Amino acid sequence: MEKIKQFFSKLWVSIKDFFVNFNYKKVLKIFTNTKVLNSFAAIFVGLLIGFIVMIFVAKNPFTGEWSFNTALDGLERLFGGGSRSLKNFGDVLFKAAPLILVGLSVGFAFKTGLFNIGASGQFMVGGVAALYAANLLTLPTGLHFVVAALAGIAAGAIWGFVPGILKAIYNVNEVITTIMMNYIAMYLTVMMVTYPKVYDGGLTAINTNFPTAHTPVLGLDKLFPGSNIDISIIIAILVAVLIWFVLEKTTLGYQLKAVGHSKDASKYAGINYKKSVAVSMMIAGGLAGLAAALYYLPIKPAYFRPIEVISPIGFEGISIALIGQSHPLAIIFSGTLISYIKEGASQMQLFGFNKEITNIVISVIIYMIAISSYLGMVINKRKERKRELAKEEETDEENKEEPQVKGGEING
Amino acid sequence: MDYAIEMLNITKSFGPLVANDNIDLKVKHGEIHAILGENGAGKSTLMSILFGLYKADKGTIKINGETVNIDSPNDANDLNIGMVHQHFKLVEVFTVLENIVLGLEDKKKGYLDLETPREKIQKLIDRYNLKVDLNALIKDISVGAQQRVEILKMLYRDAETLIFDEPTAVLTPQEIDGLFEIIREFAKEGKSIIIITHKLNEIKAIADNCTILRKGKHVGTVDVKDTSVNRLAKLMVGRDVDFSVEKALSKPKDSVLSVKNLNYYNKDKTKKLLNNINFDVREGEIVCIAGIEGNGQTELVNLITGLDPVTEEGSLISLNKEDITKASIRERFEAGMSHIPEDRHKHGLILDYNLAENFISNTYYKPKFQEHHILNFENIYHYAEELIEKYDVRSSLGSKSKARSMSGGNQQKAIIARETSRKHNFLVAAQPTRGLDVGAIEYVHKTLVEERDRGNAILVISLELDEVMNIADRILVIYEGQIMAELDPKKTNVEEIGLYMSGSKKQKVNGGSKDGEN
Amino acid sequence: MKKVLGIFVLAFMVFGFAACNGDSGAEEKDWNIVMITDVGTITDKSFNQGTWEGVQQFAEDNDIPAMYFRPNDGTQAEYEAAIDLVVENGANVVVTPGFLFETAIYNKQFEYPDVRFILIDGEPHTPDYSTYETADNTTNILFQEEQAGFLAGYAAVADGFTKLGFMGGMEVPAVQRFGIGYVAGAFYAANELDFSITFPANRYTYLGDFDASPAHITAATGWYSSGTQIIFAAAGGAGQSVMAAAEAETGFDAKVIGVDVDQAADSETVISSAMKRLAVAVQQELTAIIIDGEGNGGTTLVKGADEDAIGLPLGDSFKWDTFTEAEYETVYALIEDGSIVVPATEDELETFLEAHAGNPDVADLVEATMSEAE
Ligand SMILES: Nc1ncnc2c1ncn2[C@@H]1O[C@H](COP(=O)(O)OP(=O)(O)OP(=O)(O)O)[C@@H](O)[C@H]1O
Ligand SMILES: [Mg+2]
Repeated sequence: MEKIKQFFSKLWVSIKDFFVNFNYKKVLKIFTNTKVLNSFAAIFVGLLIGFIVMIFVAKNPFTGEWSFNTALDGLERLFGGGSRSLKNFGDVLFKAAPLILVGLSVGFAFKTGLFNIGASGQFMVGGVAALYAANLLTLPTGLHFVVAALAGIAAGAIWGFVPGILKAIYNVNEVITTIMMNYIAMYLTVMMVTYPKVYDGGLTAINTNFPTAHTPVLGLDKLFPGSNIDISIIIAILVAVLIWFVLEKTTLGYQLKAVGHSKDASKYAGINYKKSVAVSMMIAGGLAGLAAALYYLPIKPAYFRPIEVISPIGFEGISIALIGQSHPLAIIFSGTLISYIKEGASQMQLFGFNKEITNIVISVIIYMIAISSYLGMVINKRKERKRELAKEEETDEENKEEPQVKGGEING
Repeated sequence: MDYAIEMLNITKSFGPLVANDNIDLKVKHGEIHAILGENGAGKSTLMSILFGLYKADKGTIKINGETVNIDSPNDANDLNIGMVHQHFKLVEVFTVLENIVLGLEDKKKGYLDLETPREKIQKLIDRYNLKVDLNALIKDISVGAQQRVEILKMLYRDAETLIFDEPTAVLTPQEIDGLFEIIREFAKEGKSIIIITHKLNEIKAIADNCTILRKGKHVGTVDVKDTSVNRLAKLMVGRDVDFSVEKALSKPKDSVLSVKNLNYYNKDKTKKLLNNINFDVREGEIVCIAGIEGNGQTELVNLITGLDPVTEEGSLISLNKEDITKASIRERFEAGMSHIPEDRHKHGLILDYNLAENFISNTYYKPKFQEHHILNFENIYHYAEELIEKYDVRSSLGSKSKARSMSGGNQQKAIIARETSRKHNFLVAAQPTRGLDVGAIEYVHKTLVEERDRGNAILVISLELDEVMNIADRILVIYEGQIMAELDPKKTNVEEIGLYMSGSKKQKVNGGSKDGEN
Repeated sequence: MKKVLGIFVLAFMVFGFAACNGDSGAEEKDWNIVMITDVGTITDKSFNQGTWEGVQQFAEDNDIPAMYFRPNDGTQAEYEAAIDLVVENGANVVVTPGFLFETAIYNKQFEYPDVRFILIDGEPHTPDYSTYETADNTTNILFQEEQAGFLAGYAAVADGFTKLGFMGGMEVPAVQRFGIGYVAGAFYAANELDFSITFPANRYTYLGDFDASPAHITAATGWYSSGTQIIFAAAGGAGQSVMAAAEAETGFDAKVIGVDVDQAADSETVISSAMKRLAVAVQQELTAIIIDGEGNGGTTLVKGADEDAIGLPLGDSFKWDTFTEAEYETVYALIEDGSIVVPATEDELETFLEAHAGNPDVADLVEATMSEAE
């Protein structure tokens, strides 16, 4: 207990430090960091290409005629739809919470050298567990939510643990096992949804009527009137900070990242590789489980239906982790961004755009990120060559930053 | 003058560090040109610039008198420049043949054509006597053979300028001789050779000229014929270097490590890799295991350090009277073991961690570095600064440098710093001076002797007889997994050891060693 | 540097509040119809499509703007968000096909008293079902699916099919009613015509979703290859899977009965469809609201044979072999005039079979029509 207290007091101190020593130069540096610029450039290019697609399909919704103005209207919605009103933005944040957590699940595993394609499965079992706890237990408001969320975390963690332990002991590739676990989760949850005590035949979903277990709102709806916002976004942000803290500041994070970087070197150093892999997958699973709890427990929750489809959220999580380059704090932004773009894209329908365009835009963004590092390299090289041709003898202030990144890539 | 290669006023910085500071290098056709310099002096960097891996901040490169732009290894290929890297760049799961043609694949009707290249490569193999099995997977062949693959790769690309970055560090003496023969052959054909090595006698043996770098600066270029080994060393380090290790007589006390009846087989149990090994390492002595590479040294180290599990009944390893045969690696460390591993990239370092993080890779859980599972970065970085200072580990960003970005020698120094600085009384050092410059070797040897004098037990595995003779208090010669002899360096000579090493002689003592008095 | 700046500007565009420039809405008296789709696409060849065709037809005939909107997800929150959005954008008639809209409409009908809602297949209520209330601006339209199902079952047996099956989508009341009517119709016909049919409980199932999937194809293939001759697929898009299975059946001429709309065009194997004339019903109410200026706000319309809102397709799509249009008209009339009261629940089905179908021994089947829930 004492240990836990100590842990959190340390956590608090380091968060406080972050704000007390808040240094705009440092922040500016973060934003001019090549990696971050790459992400931004990629997002920009992605949106640009999305817009080009839009120009092609732009049709006035009533007349059915092609119109460039419609494309512009659509673009305005795509960019601005998520922030047209406080209500919209509140909803963006509300829907961002599970996305952030699933992104964290994938990103965390990735930082520790594992590819968690199973976030979907972990999400599904986490959702059912949270809903079971919400429906079957009788507990006071607030506590009930906490217990239901913990149930989600536990179920997700178990779902992550299985591939983790298989990898640790039998060296079975986690990509394969997590995919298989997705299927098992799908059939298992379909079976569990229709359990009479939790099933709502009218809704054809797990009953959503569990007043004591809903995610608390804590007055956030006053900030974003009319939206569905609740504390889930705060939970997501806090968890992201916690994950960042664990990865960067704790022995556990040190150990997990070491294993991620080099299995052999960490084995040599006496780090328990097997335990690390299992723990890492468990944490990743727990994060996906928590995402599900926050997805299914709000006052107006998503419905858990007995549909034989693997939840696509795990794959969105991969995108989000990619855009955030697996950095827990960056994932807060990338998750919110995806939620924002989705919101905007959905509004584009008002101008006759098919909703599928969101998916196109998002996929394009991810492709762009992959290509952008390459593009960045090419551009750097161009720059250098130009400079050489011009034979300018200037001291290359900016140039000094670049080679580190370049060198790293070459050696890698 | 007609130079094959001219690098003029080359300057390259990494952040605050100037790795190459206005360096000139000129190589003629048919010349073997050595580059000498301390660890981190900028040798690999200079060669990487020539090979198009890095772009110089300043300076010009001329090939056959013409100014050229080398932006990528592809450009270098087009200019017939080839390079064998300090750390090989081969695809482990590809065959030798596939590795050689990789990047230059021929296509026949859209399919990969391996037969035409095979012929060409086979001709090269025959011509230069570069024996390798083209169908073997890289991961299954020896380091020497891998190097031959790298050489074939260059030749296959019709390289006229051949760069060798520390090619001898990983080879046995016989292999080194073979390599030199080939290199001379190349030179005879008019190819230009640039070779980096820390071994001064090798430079004497093979090079025509030698360019010396010190801390990124060009110190001079000398004609090797007219320059003594000591002079080379002095030019490079900037002071006189003492090649022999001064040490007092060892006064061994209690046994620290004890190995009893150690047997070990390969995976499918078809071959005995270690055959009934028995020996002790005592407080205050350095025991060296001498032998030709591949005679069970790696397995022996792996079993002692726990990287591989002991599988045979009856085998016993104990440390400080504690049975550690089945102990985990961390338990062994806790019991007093330190380990300088043979493969610094695979085991020694977490390449994507920075120097400070690497310094604590096996002690991060100690109270000094963490409290309530939270890392104490103040202490960690402080400790790193201490070690960097004490062991003179050089890198671009100090404790914040990524291990990957450091020069090979400095990586090795970092490992030695880590392993000798933490609490231990037994040190296993597998080829601790591989890739180090003479100054650093001197330092490591001194460190090992100091360790000994502090009462630690030390087990060194070395392929280099000079080193063995220099630092050992007791020599165990290993051949095909058996201890052939236990020798006192003062009463033996290199020739005698050589006989035991090659298996042509064996001491009467059955199974190796008894608890011999010294 | 310029590039960096550009990217920052973009970042602000993305994250910054693009000034709340909400449209002021269309001019007051102009009608503007928006349909919000249920789970599934507008081209589901079923529910959404049927409703949309009605809306579109009406809009064209009367030159009134109409569009559809597809929410992100089939949840109350998303439906409400969609309603907010389209209303903000000027919609004043909102058509929502599907019972899933019930809770969303319950909230929004009070929030937007000036907007007319047409809720098909449901009645507004609170999420906990404690309160049902239909406001004056809301019209509910329900169908007597059991009648359509009855006709399908009757026709199948009358046409000589002896081995029947039923695949529903999700087990929702409307789908249950289709199934129950189908069972009733089949055994009614068998009794009346003195045919012997097999319809075991394991040939009556709910697939759990409305989407086409390989799993459903497998399931249907299993039924056909074990002898089932005809399957009534009351399963939206999943019906396509049943058709695919029927097409692949080589041993005999496997048949499918479609649902909601005339699905004859989808597959040669569709012999008939148990239709809800969604388009008709929607147009009737749109006309009542917009043209006649009143509408049936505050009430629930139950449309069946009486309103010509259900039935099997005639003409080219009437592909029965021996069963004739005249015979069909006869049964239809019996339902219309109330001589046959088609059962709509498990209990009613039980009594109906006892009373009007010679009390066949099919207790298991009857039980399969409704799961235990609640
Ligand atoms: N990609 C890089 N990023 C940052 N620093 C680098 C990078 N590559 C090399 N350095 C630094 O440049 C210096 C010169 O390195 P280089 O590898 O050229 O040394 P070297 O002479 O080959 O040494 P060694 O004999 O140990 O291999 C070292 O201090 C090293 O840390
Ligand atoms: Mg080097």
